[in-house]
Amino acid sequence: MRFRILRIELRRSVALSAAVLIAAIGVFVLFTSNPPYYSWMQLVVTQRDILQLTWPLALAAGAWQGIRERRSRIEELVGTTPRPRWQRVLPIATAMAIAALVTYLATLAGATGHLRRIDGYFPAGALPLIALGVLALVAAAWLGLAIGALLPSPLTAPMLFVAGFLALALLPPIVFNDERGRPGASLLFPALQGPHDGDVAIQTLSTRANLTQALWLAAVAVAGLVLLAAARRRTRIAAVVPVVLGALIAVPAMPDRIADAWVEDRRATQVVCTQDEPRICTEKALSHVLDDMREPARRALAILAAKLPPAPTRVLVERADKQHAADRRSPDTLVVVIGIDDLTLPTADALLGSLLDGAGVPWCENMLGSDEPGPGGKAANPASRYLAARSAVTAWLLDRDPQPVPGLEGRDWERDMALARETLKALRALPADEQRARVSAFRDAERTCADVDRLELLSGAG
Amino acid sequence: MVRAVSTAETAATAYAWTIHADGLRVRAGRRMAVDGLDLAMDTGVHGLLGPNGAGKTTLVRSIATVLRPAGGTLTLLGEKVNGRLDLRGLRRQVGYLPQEFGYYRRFTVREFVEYIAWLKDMPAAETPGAVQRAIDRVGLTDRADDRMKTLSGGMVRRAGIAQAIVNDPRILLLDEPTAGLDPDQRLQLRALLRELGTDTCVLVSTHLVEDVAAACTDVLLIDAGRLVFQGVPADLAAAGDSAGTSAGTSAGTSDSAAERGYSAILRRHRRERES
Repeated sequence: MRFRILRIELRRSVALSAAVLIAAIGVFVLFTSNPPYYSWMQLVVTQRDILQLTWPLALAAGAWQGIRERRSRIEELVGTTPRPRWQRVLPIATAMAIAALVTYLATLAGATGHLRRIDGYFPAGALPLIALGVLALVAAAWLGLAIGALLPSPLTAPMLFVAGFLALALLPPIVFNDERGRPGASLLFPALQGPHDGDVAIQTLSTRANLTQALWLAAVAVAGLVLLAAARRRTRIAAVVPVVLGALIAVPAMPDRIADAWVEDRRATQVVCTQDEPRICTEKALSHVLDDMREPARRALAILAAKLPPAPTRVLVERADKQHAADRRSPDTLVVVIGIDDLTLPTADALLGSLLDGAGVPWCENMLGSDEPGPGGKAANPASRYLAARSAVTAWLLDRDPQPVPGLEGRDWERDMALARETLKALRALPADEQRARVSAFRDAERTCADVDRLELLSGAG
Repeated sequence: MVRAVSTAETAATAYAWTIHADGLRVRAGRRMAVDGLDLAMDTGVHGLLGPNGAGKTTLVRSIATVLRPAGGTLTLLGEKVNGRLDLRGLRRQVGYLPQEFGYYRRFTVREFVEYIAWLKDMPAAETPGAVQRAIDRVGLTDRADDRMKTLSGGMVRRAGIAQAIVNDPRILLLDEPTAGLDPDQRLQLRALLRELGTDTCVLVSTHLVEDVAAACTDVLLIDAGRLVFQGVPADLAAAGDSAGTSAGTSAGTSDSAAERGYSAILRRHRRERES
C-alpha cells in the first residue's frame, strides 16, 4: 500500500471527520452519564460500556464511506483499472482503522477531564480493555465499509446505526437470562459491563476473558475486511469462515458467568508505602492519596505523641470496604479509612480530622447498635453514645468543638453532638493525667472493639 | 512534450493491429448492441461516429474491458480478451474516459489523477511527474490543487481526460470527451488528440462530426452494431459531396461536407439492409 494514497484517503474520506464527531459524542456521554470517575479502571470500563452507542456509530460511518464508489459513480472507471479490488480497498480500510484508533483514544483522553485523580493508580489490566475497545471500533468500521459497498444506498448508514444500536441494547437482555447473572457468552458483545458486586477499582477482567473476546472481535474485523476486499460473490462467502471459526473457538473458551470473568487485581491491593517519614502505607489503588496525606499524617502523629503516648509511628490508609482486624490492634499504627469512591476532594484539615477520628482507630461495627431501646428498656450499644464518644475524643485531641464522624453521612447529628459537647466539657475539667488515662482506655477498647460503653470510659462512670 | 520511454514501448510489436475485432458481438443488457463488428485500428486518432443506440458506447466499454464479448473475437495489443485471462497487464496500457465520468468530489484534481495512476499500477517514483504532465496537457495546471467539486463541467471533462492519459496508455478510449467544452477548449482538445495520436491508438466516440473531421486521422461509422464505414475524413466529406449532388437532399448550406457524408452513408447502408 502506498503511503501517499493513504494520506489522500485520510484527508478526503469521512474517516477523520467521523472520528472527531464520534469522539465528541463519546466524551459528552462519558461526562454526563456518571459523576466524576474515581479510578482509571472505572473510566476504562465505562468507555467499553458506551460502545453500545459508539460501536453502531462507527458501523454507520464505515457504511457511509463504503457507498462512496457507487455514490460517485466511479465503479465503471475503477473497474477497468489493473489494480485488484483487495489492494484498492486497503488504503481506505487502513484510514478507517486509524480513525477508529484515534476516536477511541481521543475519547479516553477527553474523558480524563471527568476523572478525579488522573495521577491515580493506572492498572495494567486497563490496557487490554482499551486495546479491545479499539479493536471493536475497527471491526465496526470495516464491517460498515463492507456492508456499505454491498448495499450502496444512502439509507444503509442510518439503518445500520439504528439496527446496531437496537441489537446492542436489546439483544443481550433478551438472549441472556439475567437471573443467575449474565453468561460468559455476553462477551461476544463489544459493550462490556463492569462487575456488579465489588469495586471496579480493584478488579480486572481475566486474561482468558480478554483473549476470547480479542479472538472474537478480530474474527469480526477480518470478516468485514474479507467482505470488503472480495471482488466475487464466491469469495464473499469466505467472510463467514472467520466468524464461524472465531465463535467456535471463543464461545467454549468463555467463562461460565460474566461475573467469573472479573477477578481481583492483585496489584491494586498490593500495599505501597512512602519512603520518607512519616511512613504512610496504603493499597496501590489508593496510592494517589499518599501525597495529600503526608502533611496531615505528620501533624496527626505529632499530636498523638504529645497528647496520647505511646503514639503510633506509621499510618495505614485503608479502603472503606476492606478492613483488616489485625491492623487495628497494632499500637504503632494509625489506621485511617477512606472511601475509594468518595468524590469530595478532602482538605488537609478534613484529612487531619479523619486521621485522628477515634484517636486513630477505625470505628467498630459492633458498637453501632440501634438508638431505640430494646425489649429490656435499655438499648444495646446505642450508636449515638458511641459516635458522641468518638467525636469527643477527636475534638479533645484537636482542641476544637466536636464534629460529626467522617464517613457516616446522612445521620441526624444534633443529639450526638450535644452529648459529645457535654462529655468533652466534663473531660476537660479533669486533671491532665486523668484526661490522658481515660482517652487511653477509650483507645484500648477501640482497638479490640470491646463491648464497653465508650461514653462511660470517658466520663469515668465505668 | 518529452517523456521517458521504456524499452518495452520501443520494442517491435508482435501484433498487426492495436485493436482488432472480428465478428465481435457484445451485449448491452439484453440487447446485442454490437453485433458482428469487424474492425482494425492502429496508432492514430480514430473518430467513432454513429446515431444514438448504434453501439458506440458498448463498443468502447468492451474495449475498456468493462464488458466481455458475447461472440467473435476482440484482440487488444495482440491479446485476445474473450477468455478468462488475466487482464491486469493489458489494463495497465489502457486509458478510459467513460461517457458518464464519475469522480470523488472531495479529492483535488491532483489527488484524483494520482489515485487513478495508483490504480493503474504506475510505479511510485514516476507518479508525481506523470500526474503533473497529464494535468498540464489538459490545461488544468492552475486548478490542480482545487477540489474536484469546485470545477465547472468542462473542467471536470478535462480532469477526466487527464486521468485517462496519466499512464501514457497504448489504447486511449474517450467517450464523448468534448461534451461540455466551450469552442476554445474544443480546439485545444483537438490539438491534444492530434498530439496523442502520434504514438497512441486513440478512439474518440462522439456525436460531433466536425470534431472528427478536424482531429481524426481515421473515421469509423457504425450503425446497429456493425461497422458501415471506415476511412480518412476526406472520404467522409467526399461521400457527402457526391450524395449532395445526386440525391438532392434538403441539406442546408451551412452543413459541412463531412456531416452530409455521415448521413448519406447511413442512409445508403440502411437502404441496403432493407432490400
